[in-house]
Amino acid sequence: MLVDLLAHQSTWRFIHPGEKMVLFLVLALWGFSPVPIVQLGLLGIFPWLFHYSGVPWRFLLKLLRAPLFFILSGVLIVVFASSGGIQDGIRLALRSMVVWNAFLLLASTTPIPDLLEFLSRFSVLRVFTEVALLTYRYLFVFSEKAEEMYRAQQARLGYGSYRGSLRSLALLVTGLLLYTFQAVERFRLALEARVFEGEFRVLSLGFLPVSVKRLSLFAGVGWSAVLMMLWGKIG
Amino acid sequence: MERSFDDALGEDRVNWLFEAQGVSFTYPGGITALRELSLRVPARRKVVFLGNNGSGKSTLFLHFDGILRPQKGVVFFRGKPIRYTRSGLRELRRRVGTVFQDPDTQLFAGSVFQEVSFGPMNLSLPENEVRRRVEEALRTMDIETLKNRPVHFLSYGEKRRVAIADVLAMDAEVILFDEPTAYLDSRGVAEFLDIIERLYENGKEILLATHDVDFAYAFADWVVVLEKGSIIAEGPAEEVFVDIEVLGGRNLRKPLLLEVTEVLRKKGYLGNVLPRRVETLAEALQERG
Repeated sequence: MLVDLLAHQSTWRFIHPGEKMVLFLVLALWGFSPVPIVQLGLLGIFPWLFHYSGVPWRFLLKLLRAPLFFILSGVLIVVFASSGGIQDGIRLALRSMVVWNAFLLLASTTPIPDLLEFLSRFSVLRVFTEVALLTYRYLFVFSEKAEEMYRAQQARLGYGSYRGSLRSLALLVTGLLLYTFQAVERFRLALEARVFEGEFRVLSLGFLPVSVKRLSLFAGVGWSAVLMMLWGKIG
Repeated sequence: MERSFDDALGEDRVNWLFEAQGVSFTYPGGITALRELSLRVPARRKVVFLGNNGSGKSTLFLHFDGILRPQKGVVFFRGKPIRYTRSGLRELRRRVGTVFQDPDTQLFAGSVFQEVSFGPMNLSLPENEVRRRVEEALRTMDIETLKNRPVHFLSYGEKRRVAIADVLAMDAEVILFDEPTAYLDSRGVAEFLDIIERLYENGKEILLATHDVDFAYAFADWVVVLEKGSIIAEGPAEEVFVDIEVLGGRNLRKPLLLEVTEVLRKKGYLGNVLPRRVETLAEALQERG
C-alpha cells in the first residue's frame, strides 16, 4: 500500500489531522467552482502541495493515474449523453481531477490510524472508528497470510490450468476464512490478558497544536468558494 | 504426597508463585489438554515448561492468567486461589502478563506507541503515568526509535519486542512467555535470552513454555516437563535434565551442551561444572589448558 507508506513518512504527518481534513474540504469545495479557470489554477498548485508534503514525483504520477479510467468513462458518457456536450465533459473531468488530488493530498499525508484517532474524539463515531482501526490492522495481517497461501499453492502448481485455478482459489478463500476464526480467537485471548473491558483506549500520538493562522486562512478561502458559487447561482 | 524438591528449596516453602491442584481441562472440541495436573512453581526461579506440541503448556499458561478456568481443580497464585470475578481477574492480569506466541494477532493499534499504551490505559492510570510507563517499556526493549511506526512496518523480531513491551508497560510482576523463540533466528534467540535474563535480574518472575530443549537448558533453574496434559518431571534444572531421557522416553532428548559436557567430564577434560552456554564451556576448557 503505497499511500499508507507515504502517509507514515510525510513531512506533514504530525500536523493536526483536523487541519488537514479542513484543507481537504476547502480544496474539494473549490473543485466545484463553475469557473474552469479556478480548477485549472488548483491543478497547477497541487503538485507543489504534494512536493512540500514529501510525496516524490514518480509516486505522485502513479497515484494520480489510478482513477483515470473511471474519470474518462464518466466523461465520455457525459459528452454523448448530456445536452452540454463537450463543455460539460471538460467540466466534469476538471472537477473529478481536483477532488481526486485533494483526497490524495489528505490520504498521503495522514495515516488512517491518525485520522481515526482524531475522529474518535467525537463519541458518536466511536464504534465506527474502532471497527475501522481493526479492519485497517487486519487488512495487513490477512493479506500477508493470503499471499503466503497463494505462493504455497503456486509452488505446487495450483494455478496451472483454468479449472485448477478455480479450485485453488476456492481452497485459498476457505483457508483464509478458517485462519480468520483462529486469529480472532487468539486476538480475544490477548485482549483479555491485557484487561480489555470493551473499549479500545490508547494514548494519543500527540500531534502539533492546531495552527489558528492556517485554519483561518483555510476558512477564508473556503467561504470565498461558497460565496462565489452562490454568486454564480444568483448572477 | 512427597515432593523431592522441597529439600532443594530449603525450609522456605511459602514462596510458591503458582500452584495447581488436580486441574483438568477439556476443550469444547473434546481434546483433553490437562489431566488432573498438580504442580507448584517456585518464586525467584527461572522456570521453564518443557514439552512437545499439544502437551498442555499453553493451556496451563492460560490458566495461570485466569483466561481459562479449570473444569476441575484449583489454581493458586502466591498462595491464594484465583478469584474469577471481574475485579479478581483484573487484579490477577495486572500482576501476571502473557506474551503470546504470534505477535501478529496480538498487536492491533495504529502505532507502536499506541499499542504499548493499550494495557496501562485499561488499568485506568492517569495519562502522565501511562506515558511514563510506555516510554520506559520502549527504552527497556530498545525500540524507542520505532515509536511512531505502524505495526505492519516491523520485522518479526521487532514485533516480538513490542509484544514484550506491551506487558512491561503494565508493570506485571510475572511474565509468561508462550513459545517465545518460535520463528526467531539464532541471533534473535540470543538477544531474547539476554532480555529475559535482564528482566529476571530486575526482579520479574519469568515463566516460559518451549519445546526447545537446548534453549530451555540455557535459561532454566527449574524445569517442569509436560506430556499429554500431565507432569512427568519437575524440579531443579540440573536434576531434571540429567534424567530427561529416562523421564521423557523417546519424546525428549538431552540438551546437546549437556551431552557434550558429560562426555568431557568422563574423559577428564572438565571439572565438576555444568556450563549452560557454549561460551561458558569454551572458557572452562580454555582454563584447563
